[in-house]
Amino acid sequence: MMNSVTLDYLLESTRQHSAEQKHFYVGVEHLMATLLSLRGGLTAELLDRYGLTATFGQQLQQETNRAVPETRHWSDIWLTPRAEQVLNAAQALIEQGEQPDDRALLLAILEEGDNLPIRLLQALDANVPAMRDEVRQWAISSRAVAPTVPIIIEDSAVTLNADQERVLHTMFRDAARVFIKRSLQDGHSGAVVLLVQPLKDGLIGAPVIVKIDDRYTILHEKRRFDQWVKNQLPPTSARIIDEPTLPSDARAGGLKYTFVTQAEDDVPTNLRDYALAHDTETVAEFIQKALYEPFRRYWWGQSQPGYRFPARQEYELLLPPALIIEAVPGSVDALDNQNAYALSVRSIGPEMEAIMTGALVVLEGFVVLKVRPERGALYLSTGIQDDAEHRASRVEVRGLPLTAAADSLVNSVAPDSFQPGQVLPRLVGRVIATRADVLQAQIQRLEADFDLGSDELPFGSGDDGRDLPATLPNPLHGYTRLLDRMIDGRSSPIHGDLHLGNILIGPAGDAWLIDFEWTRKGHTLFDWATLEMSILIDLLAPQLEATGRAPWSDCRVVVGWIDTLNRQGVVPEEASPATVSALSLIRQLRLIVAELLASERRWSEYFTALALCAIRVPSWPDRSVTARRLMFLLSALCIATISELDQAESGPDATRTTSDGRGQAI
Amino acid sequence: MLHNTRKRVELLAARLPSGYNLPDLIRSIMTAAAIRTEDAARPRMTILTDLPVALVVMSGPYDGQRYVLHQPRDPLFGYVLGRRSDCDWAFSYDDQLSGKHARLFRAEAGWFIEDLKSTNHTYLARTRPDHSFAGREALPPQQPHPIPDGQLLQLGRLWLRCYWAAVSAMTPDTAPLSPFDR
Repeated sequence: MMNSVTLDYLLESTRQHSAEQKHFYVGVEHLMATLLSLRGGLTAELLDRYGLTATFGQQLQQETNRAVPETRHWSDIWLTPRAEQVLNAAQALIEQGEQPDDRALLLAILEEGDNLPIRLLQALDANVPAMRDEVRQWAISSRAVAPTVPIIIEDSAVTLNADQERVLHTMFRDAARVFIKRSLQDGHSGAVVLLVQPLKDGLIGAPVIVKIDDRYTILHEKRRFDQWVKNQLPPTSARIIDEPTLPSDARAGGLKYTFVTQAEDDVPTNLRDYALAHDTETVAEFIQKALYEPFRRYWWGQSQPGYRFPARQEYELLLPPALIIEAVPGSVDALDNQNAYALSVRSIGPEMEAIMTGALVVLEGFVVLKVRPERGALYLSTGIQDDAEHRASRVEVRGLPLTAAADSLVNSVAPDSFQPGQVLPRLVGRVIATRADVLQAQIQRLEADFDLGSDELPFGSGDDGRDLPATLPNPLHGYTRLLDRMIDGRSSPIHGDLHLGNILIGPAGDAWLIDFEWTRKGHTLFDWATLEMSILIDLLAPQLEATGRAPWSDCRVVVGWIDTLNRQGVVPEEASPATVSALSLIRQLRLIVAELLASERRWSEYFTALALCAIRVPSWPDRSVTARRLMFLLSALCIATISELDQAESGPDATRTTSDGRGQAI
Repeated sequence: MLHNTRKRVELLAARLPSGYNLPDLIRSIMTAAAIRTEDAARPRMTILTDLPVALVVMSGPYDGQRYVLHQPRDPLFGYVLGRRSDCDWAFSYDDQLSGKHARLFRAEAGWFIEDLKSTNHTYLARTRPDHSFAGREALPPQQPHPIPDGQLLQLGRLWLRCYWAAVSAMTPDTAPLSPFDR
């Protein structure tokens, strides 16, 4: 009974399940259905013993299908009073040491005794009191708190905090010890990805990949995986095994991916490390043969043409929040104040972009996207249900009392606790920074040698005899128009964060992808723009810096060569060796992109994606200054390229018309 | 006139299935009508007006919510349960509930539930000696049926439990916040 399913996971998956059936509430019958769905779980085992699994499951399904249809949208999920009572009872049982959590929940349902699942069991003539006694006396082979399993770290680059250790203890609670073979990814986002090998009963177990992150992120990734990845991966690929590990005594959670190695010394590596150790042609071939071709069938190749969307819909999520506000305490009646902006869930980016710092805003019906007590920040979004996850303009709220989400699990209505998915009926705040402020501040930190307020950035000096434009448009001024640009593209399942660190090289030279937190159906070119950026950031930027910090001028030279590649489709021989090898890989990507463009040779689709992907990089403080400068310039170059392509398409001085009929100069 | 009536009765008698005869049939119809009139009249006469009753929702989004009713709008008719806002207990969101679905009243002999010709019927839960749930049976419309304390009922799709003993000691839940109005 090595079961690490926790109550909040059970509640989360119940909410998810209920929403999928469009029930919009969670009752005891939904909780029971979740318990029944746990493979090898106690509930299924108990009912099996009473010969009830099939009939009971069917009747429960019928009974829940009879739930009230409700067509209205709201993002929050309502707990019935009885479900809340049962969850509180389960929580109390867990605090008394009942383990595991699914047993505590089953016991709470049986002890409550007067709910729909119980009536179904009684109607089937089941002996409910006997079942309850049996669950009460169930022999527990697991201890209440996961034991401490010795963790042996073999990679000096790895350091684990207490929460991360708890995840490993819980995940490998039946092992004698675990070996951390190596880190597979830098913790840019606070996540760690490790290659772990457990030792059990004196035998070395198969190595697995373990990802540890914030527990809600982990739950989110598992759901994405179930929805978009599970049945859509090539057979030779990493996949998530088991349910997520969410220790009750840590804020972190963990996921386990399979990784089958053939030999003891067959240490997997990510594509970045692989690229550093192999020649460009081998890497380019890997991208084509191991990554693109096997996955195309399941992901990018399954594209639907005719996907016309404002760039904002797919790319705004990359940018900093549209507004950062400081919550105004008390009940300020801001609506009486003429300077207050009322924003509802229907509000979209342009509306928020018009708001200036210092303004008072009233947010109505916003949804909690993320709670980050360590940053003292709450992230809200507009949009409804799934839209809220990715597509909407976000608002960061500071100055609210944030309790750790894990502590306020069941009491979702407690006023000082916030949970992802919760709807906040009304929140008043003062804008302390807008997205434009944040972007500007980020570029300032890069010690710009030019005027950030200007519409143009200096670019080609003419010194090296190359025919480069003398200036590029300032992305700080151009990005909002880019967000409103309509893209004629294709949509398909995409990975959503396809950087080199998320591509592992499997035993037979296969590509094994990990990290499905952003996997969704989206703009097909998103992944390729992300990968192109990663090549520049993770492979080229460190080499530019190898000789000391690369000044802006060095970055301009590289971006100049990218311009050459854009125009001529060839890698310039006279560039530095590091640039040549990065551009060779990018050229390989561009061949793939050419196949995936919605209309042949209409490259503005790709450069819009690239420009918007690149402008976010300056907001990553843990990336090198060079990488951030490079991406700022790349974004500028893409905006210039888009206007050139647009002009070539429709003649000089022509304007493009967006779907809402406004003329647009880009 | 009389001739016409006799002719109709003869036609009716000719259509009866075998084993029935008309005089017996008329007699039994008359008896049933008398009983019904009596039944409907009796509780109306002796209804007790100021007794509280508690209803606990047993299914759906409000599962577990408790309501306490104190005084029926029409003291001579009892508590009316249904979808319409003028019911004593109005449960507007459930679309299988009729406008006026059932009435609940106290007569001398105890508490009664009566289906008010609802579309989706009123059911009583059947229980075994150990009080476990054993299915449901539909109530014939407009016939009061006595119910014990804590009786499980189904109105359309909605399950309810009805308590009348010791209700004064019960506190109602605070006014429910509708999930649909948030």
